[in-house]
Amino acid sequence: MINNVKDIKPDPNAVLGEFEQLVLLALLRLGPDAYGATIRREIEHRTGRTLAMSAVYVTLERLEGKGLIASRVGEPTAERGGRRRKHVALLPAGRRALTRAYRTFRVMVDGLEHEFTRR
Amino acid sequence: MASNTSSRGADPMAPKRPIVRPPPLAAWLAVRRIAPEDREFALGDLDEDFQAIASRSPAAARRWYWREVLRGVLTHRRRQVIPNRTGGGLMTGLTQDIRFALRWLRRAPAFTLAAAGTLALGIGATTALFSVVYAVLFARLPFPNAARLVAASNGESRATSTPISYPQFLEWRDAGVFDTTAAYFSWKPAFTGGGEPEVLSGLRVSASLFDVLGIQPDRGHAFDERDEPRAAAGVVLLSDGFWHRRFGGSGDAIGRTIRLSDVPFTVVGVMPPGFRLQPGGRAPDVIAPLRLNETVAPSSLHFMDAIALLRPGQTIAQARDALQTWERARYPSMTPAPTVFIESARTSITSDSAPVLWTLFGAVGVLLMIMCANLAHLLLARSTARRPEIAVRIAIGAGRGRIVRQLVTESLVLAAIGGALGLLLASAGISLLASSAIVRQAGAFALHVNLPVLAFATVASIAAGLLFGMAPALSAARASTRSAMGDATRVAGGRQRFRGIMVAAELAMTMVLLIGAGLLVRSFTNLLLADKGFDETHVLSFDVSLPDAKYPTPVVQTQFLQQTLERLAQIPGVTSSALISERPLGGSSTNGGLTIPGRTFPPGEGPHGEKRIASPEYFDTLGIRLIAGRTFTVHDTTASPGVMVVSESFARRYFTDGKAVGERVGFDWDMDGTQEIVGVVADVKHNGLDDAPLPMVYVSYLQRPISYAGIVIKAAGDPATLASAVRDVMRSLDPDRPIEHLETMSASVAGAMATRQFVVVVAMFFSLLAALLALTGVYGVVSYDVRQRTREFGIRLALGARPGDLVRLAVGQGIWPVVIGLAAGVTAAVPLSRLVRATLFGVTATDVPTYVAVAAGLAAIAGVACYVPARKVLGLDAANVMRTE
Repeated sequence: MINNVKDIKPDPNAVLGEFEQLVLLALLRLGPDAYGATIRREIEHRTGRTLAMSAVYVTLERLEGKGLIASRVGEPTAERGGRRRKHVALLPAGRRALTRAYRTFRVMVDGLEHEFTRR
Repeated sequence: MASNTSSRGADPMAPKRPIVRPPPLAAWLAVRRIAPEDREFALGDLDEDFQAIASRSPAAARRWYWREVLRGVLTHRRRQVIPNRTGGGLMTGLTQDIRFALRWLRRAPAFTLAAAGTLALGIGATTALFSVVYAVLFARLPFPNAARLVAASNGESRATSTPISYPQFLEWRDAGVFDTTAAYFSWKPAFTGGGEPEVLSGLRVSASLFDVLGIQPDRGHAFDERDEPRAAAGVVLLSDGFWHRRFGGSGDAIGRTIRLSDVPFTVVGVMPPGFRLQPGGRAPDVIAPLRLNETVAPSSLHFMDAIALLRPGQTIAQARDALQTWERARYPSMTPAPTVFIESARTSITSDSAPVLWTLFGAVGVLLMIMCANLAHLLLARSTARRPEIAVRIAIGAGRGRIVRQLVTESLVLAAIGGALGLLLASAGISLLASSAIVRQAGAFALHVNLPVLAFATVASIAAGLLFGMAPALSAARASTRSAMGDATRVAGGRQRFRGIMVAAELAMTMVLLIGAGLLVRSFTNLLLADKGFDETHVLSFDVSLPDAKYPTPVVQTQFLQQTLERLAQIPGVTSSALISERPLGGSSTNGGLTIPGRTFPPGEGPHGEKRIASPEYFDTLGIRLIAGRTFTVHDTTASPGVMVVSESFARRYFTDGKAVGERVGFDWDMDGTQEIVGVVADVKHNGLDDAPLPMVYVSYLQRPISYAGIVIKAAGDPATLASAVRDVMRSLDPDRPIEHLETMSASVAGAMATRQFVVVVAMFFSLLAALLALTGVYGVVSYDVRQRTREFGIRLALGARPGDLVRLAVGQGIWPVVIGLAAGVTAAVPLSRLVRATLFGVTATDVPTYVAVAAGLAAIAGVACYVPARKVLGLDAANVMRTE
């Protein structure tokens, strides 16, 4: 079941904030396993930052509002005290926005790689 | 039944990883604070991460959870939900109010400090006492089966209940009324395994006790029924403390054989740390099986306490009816028919201390209310200064409700500050209380700031804030609507009346407290002055017992005791030495039925008395007055006719005009035939100073040998200085014979008064503090009045009034709250003082002298508190006043 998509028009020129990029990248990495707790863990694990759960939720909600991701309610599991998960998945618009961000980043970095690899 | 108190993990049913739950308060907050549409998923995520962290460190997980709830989830909801729900009106207004209140409190640091300090004291004291009340009367006993634990005994009520006998225990166990039945009795073996001999505190228990309590040894194993017979090989469990103290906590203690009162016992295990049956009591050093048979413990010997586990769903009343019916069917011809008394284990432990605790809690609650009343008129006085500010706020459109809300918020902020400080004070007070003997005796298992205590402090603070804040706020808002348009200084009348009411209320409550304290003080002095029946001065006492193994025959026992008394009497400074089977205030006693030949009594009303075995010198040594006949002599031996000395109340109860000398009484306790009463002595208070004297009979230890005794020594000077000489003598007589309870009789008497003394001191402290607060209230009212009416007084002076008239006028303003307060106080004290009736001694709850003394004293001091500020009128100069006004 896919929620919250019918009324939302994806913004073709959406610009992503830094944290939004991190969340979308985590979605891409996690695939079908992506939900609040795993997304937070993935970002914490890779970046070494400590995140508040609320930061993840707020961002997910904003991304959903922009029509970049969609959510789906999963099955209850024991380790969560019998509560269900809210899985999130990347929508095509999200993937496009991420690609755009990546390209922008890459063209801006082009020729400056030595600045970041030294030391 | 889930038992997360045990951390041993020996239970095969327990999951491999211990279940760690998020902190309940945080989880509750989380549920409240997350928007419903997100709740399930967000809580699930929180839980999942919590479990992951908890598998490494439960403490870290709990900290993480709290952080997450306070920071993360809250932010989430504030951003996402609140604007959509309430439009922000209430919340924004509230933050505004709180910010404003804080600013206002910062501007008047002296007032804030005084008010918050007063509140902190009140809330702190109330909370500290609540923690005791909660721990003693409401918290669960630390046994997994606590909810179904009951104590069972013979009798109709707690007051008349008596212990059960060994055969009775066997019958109850097999009667099938309870799920499981256990019995135990205390045991004081001498531990003589090398080093200083020591009398241990021990328990002898039925094997079923472990199942009843749901507690198992930490190491080794519990007993089973095969260990219970008299003939079984001795096995024993050690307490954790004893194991560490005497065996260095070494694992090879288990399996070792130790000698307890010269009988070998094999150590089979160690109990969990802190295990005890009676809360606050000493943990039993050693626990052994019953080791009884019906020869040594016949059905006439009632000495065991029964503790049982109700069947699931069974009520106490059902169990009682079933057991009583069973008993009556078993013994149909017994008259009176057997009765059974069952109460919850908690009640049986705490029933003694409950009235004292409620009394103190009530007193401190009243004190808190007085503090609130005091703050109320303090706030009212301050609101005078704020009148212009409030007028401006009304002028620019604030409604009355808005003003009241602002003022009440200020009170609540003040209460919150006071409450937080109070909680700090309370936690300090709680650790102080936890170490005091009375609280330990009262049976507080675990005294600390826990969730209920926290909740209590919160509710108390909010209630206090509303109590002292509401009335001044209403009054200020009402006054200000008027004053906004007119002369601001002329509308004080209503407010002054309100302050008068507050002061009257304070005085009334103070009256109640002072009368209560007065009654307790009178009880205390009555007890101090009451005739105990013995003279404790210059007396040293201790207990000694002789194990069968080393002192097998009565002859050897008597020889040893005789020698002991002789040797003790030779110590320089000792004037006499004597022995008694159970010392007054020593905590143990023996009683039972007697027979009077030729007389018959209705069933259940036969002669009954406390039984004591004494040496001839006992009565002289303790100064027990001889009323008729003689006491024992050394010539009353097994070779001469049996003699008996009885107490005055025994003589009065069973013989006409108390003329008992020459009568004969049968002593159905290992003694054949009857004894002739040769003397009557004064009654002795045995169990406590406030007990009614019990009818008592004495026989001589030379005619009825004993293997244990309380020794009393009369000294010419300070008895405490004899202690080491006494120890030396006892060591030279038998190096393996420990002596116990070595203390002066004066110390025993003081010990018997300790609880009462504590209550008296606390009650005095509370009521004097209350009086002080109330009197500052009276003083405040009058001096405020004098300030307010300066112009009026000036005019009166100018018109020819004498200064004395003005003083009378000013005093009059303060006097009527005093009169009303005192009258209300007396009226309230009459019914309320009944609550302390249980703790009174030698004085009735409506003792007229106490009431009169307290009322007169308070009235006199209140008069002074009125007069001192009123005297300021004398300094007025009519011309000056008229000019400045």
